[in-house]
Amino acid sequence: MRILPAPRLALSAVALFLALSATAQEPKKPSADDIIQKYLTASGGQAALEGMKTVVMKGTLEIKAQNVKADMLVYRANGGKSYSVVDIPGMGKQEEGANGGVLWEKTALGPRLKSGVEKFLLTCAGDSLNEYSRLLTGKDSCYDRIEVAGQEPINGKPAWKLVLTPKMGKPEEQYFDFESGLLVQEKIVLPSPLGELPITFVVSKYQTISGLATPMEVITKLGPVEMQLSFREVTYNSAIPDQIFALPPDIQALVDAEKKR
Amino acid sequence: MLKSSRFFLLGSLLCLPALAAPPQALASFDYVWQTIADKHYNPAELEKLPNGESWQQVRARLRPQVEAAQTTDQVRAVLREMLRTLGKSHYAIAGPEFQPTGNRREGGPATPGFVVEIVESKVLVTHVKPGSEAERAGLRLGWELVDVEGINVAKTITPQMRPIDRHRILKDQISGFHGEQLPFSFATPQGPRKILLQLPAPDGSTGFGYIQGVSVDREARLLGTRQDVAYFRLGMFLDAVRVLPEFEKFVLANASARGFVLDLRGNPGGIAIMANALSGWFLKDSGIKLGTMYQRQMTLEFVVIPRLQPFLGPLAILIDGASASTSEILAGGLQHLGRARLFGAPTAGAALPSLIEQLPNGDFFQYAVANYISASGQSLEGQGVKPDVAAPHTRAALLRGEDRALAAALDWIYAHPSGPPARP
Repeated sequence: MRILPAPRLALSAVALFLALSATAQEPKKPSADDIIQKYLTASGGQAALEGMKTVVMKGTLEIKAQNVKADMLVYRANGGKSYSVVDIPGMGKQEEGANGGVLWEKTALGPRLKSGVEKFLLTCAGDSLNEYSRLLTGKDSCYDRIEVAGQEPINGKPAWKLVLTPKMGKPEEQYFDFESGLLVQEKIVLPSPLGELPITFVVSKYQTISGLATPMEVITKLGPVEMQLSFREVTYNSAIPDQIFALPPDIQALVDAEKKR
Repeated sequence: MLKSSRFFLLGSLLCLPALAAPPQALASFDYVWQTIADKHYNPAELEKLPNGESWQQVRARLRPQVEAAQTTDQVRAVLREMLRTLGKSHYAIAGPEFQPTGNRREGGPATPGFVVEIVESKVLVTHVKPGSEAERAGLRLGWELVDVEGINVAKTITPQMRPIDRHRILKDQISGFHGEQLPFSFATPQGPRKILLQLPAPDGSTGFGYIQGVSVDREARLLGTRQDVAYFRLGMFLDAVRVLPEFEKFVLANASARGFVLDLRGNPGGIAIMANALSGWFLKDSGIKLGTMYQRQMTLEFVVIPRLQPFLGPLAILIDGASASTSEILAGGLQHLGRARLFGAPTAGAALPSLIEQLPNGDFFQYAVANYISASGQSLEGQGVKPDVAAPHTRAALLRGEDRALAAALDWIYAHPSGPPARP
C-alpha cells in the first residue's frame, strides 16, 4: 500500500544526520535488485507474501495542524479489488474503490471514474497483494527501469534511494532503510483532475502481522498539508464479502453512461 | 457567555477571550513568522512587501515588541501588525480585530432569521428568512435597525470599513447564542417598533477543523410569478456533509425549473472545494475549471466534475460586497465560463485559499497558502468579481418588499427561458 510525507518535525533530525554523515563511511552501493530482494525478505519473504489474499485496515486520518481527524477503513482483495472510506467530520464520506477494472471515487466533488495515467498508476499501487513484488521489472511490471540513485537520510537514518520509471507517468522515488531493508519513504507525482499532485509518504512503525512487516503509520505531505494515517488494526486473509467491492449506484450509472458514448 | 465558541469563517477567525498574560508569546510570534516564510505561495513577495520592508526586516522590527508585550492583546496587536505588512486577505490572528467605536456586541453562532446591511447610510433589514421567528414577528424589509440590547447598531461601524467587515460586524450585532433572547428596536414607516426574538436552537450544522459551533444558514424554495424558479441561499460554505446532499436533492427535484438562483450575498466563503461541487450541477462538459490555485509546491486546477443530470437552464448568482473567498471562486468561475449571470454588487476581493492552525499561546492563526487565479486569468484577490447587472438594495425598493438583485435575476430568467446564457 502506498505510504506518505516527511513530517516537518523530523527535518531537524534529517539536517543533523546530514551534518554527521560527512564523516560516516558510505557502505558499498548495492544494485537495485539487491535492495528489492532485501525489501522482499524484510517484508516477510516470498511465501508469506504469496499467501496474502485479503487485507482489512482500520485506523484514522488526521490533519493535526487543522484539527481534522477522521475514521478510515480499507478493504483490499486479490484480483484488483479495493474499497476505502474516510469519514471526515463536516465533509462526509470520501470513498474510492476498484473492481472489475473500474477505478472510481466519490468525494465532495462528486462521483467519477479514473482513467489514463491515474488509473494505471493506481492500479499498480492499489493492489496491496501485488505491491510487494511489483518493484521487479519483468514484463508484467509497472516499471521500465529501476535505478539506484544514491543514499539519503530519512528521519535521521540512512536509506537507499531508488528511482523507478513507470511505463506511464512520472518517475517515482522509493527509499529503503539501510539496516532493515524496509520501505521508509516514497515520492510520487500522481495525476488527478486537480492536476499533478507531488506527494511524499513517510512510512513507519512497522509491526509484524501474520508474518508480514506492516507499516502502522504513514505521513503524507501534499503541498502545505500533512496528513497522518494511523492504522490501529490490520488483518490479513479475513473473508471480505463481495458486496463490499460492488460499484455504488451512481458509479455504475457513470459506467453505463460511458458505455453508451 | 461562551466567547470561545465564537467563530468567523475565511477572512475572520475564532475568537478567544483575552488573557491576562502572554504565555508562549515569542513561540507564537516565531511560529507565525516561520510558517509564512515556509509556506507563502510566492516567496518573492516576501523580499519586498508593500511597505518596502522584507519579511526578515519585519521580524527584526517586531520581535522586540513581542518580547516587551505585557498582555495577550499586545501580543495579538504585534502579530496582526506583522500580518498587515503582507497586504493580503486571509492572514489573521484570533481575537477582536477592530477597535470598538463604541459599545459593540460580540455576537455568536445563532442568527435571528434576518439580515441587515448598510443601505443609503442606514442599517436596513435586507432579508427575512421564510419560516423564521423574525418573519412570524412581522419583521419587514426596509425597516431600520436602531439598537440591539440597547446598543446603537449604526455606531458600531464606520463608512471607511470594507463592506465585508461591515457585514461581519453587523452580523455580530444581531447574532448571539442558541436560545438567547434579544430585544431589537426598529424604525419603521409606521413608527418605532420593538421586537423580542429568541435565537434558534443549534441546527445540527457540522463545522470543519477549528471552525466549529456555527449554524450554516440556507434556504431552498421556489420563487417567481409561477413559483417555477429554484432559489437556494447559502450563508457559508460549510457543513458539506449536509449541504451537498441537500443541494443535490433540490437540483434534481427542480430539474424542470424555469431557472435557478443561487444567492451568495453575505457568504464569506468556507470549504473551497464546495464551489466545485456545486458547480458540477450546472455544467455538462468534462475538463472545465473555475480557476487555478498556485501554491509554492504545486498548482491545483479547480476543476468541475459534471453530474450526469445537471441543471442547464438559466443560472443567476446573487453577490455583494460581503461575498468572499469560495463565493468569489464559484461566482467568478461560472461567470467567466458564460454559465451564470451575476446580479448585485461587486464582491469582497478576498479570495486566497488558506489554512487555520492553533498557535502555542492558544490563539488561532489563519494564513494563505495559495494565490487563486480565475479561469479568465484574473487574480480575485483585491479585485473581486463584478456583477453583470448592478442591482444594489435601495430603501424604497426594500420598503416595497422588493429585493432588487433577486428581482433583476427573476426578470432575466423569465426573459431567457432556455439554455445557458451567452456571455454579455
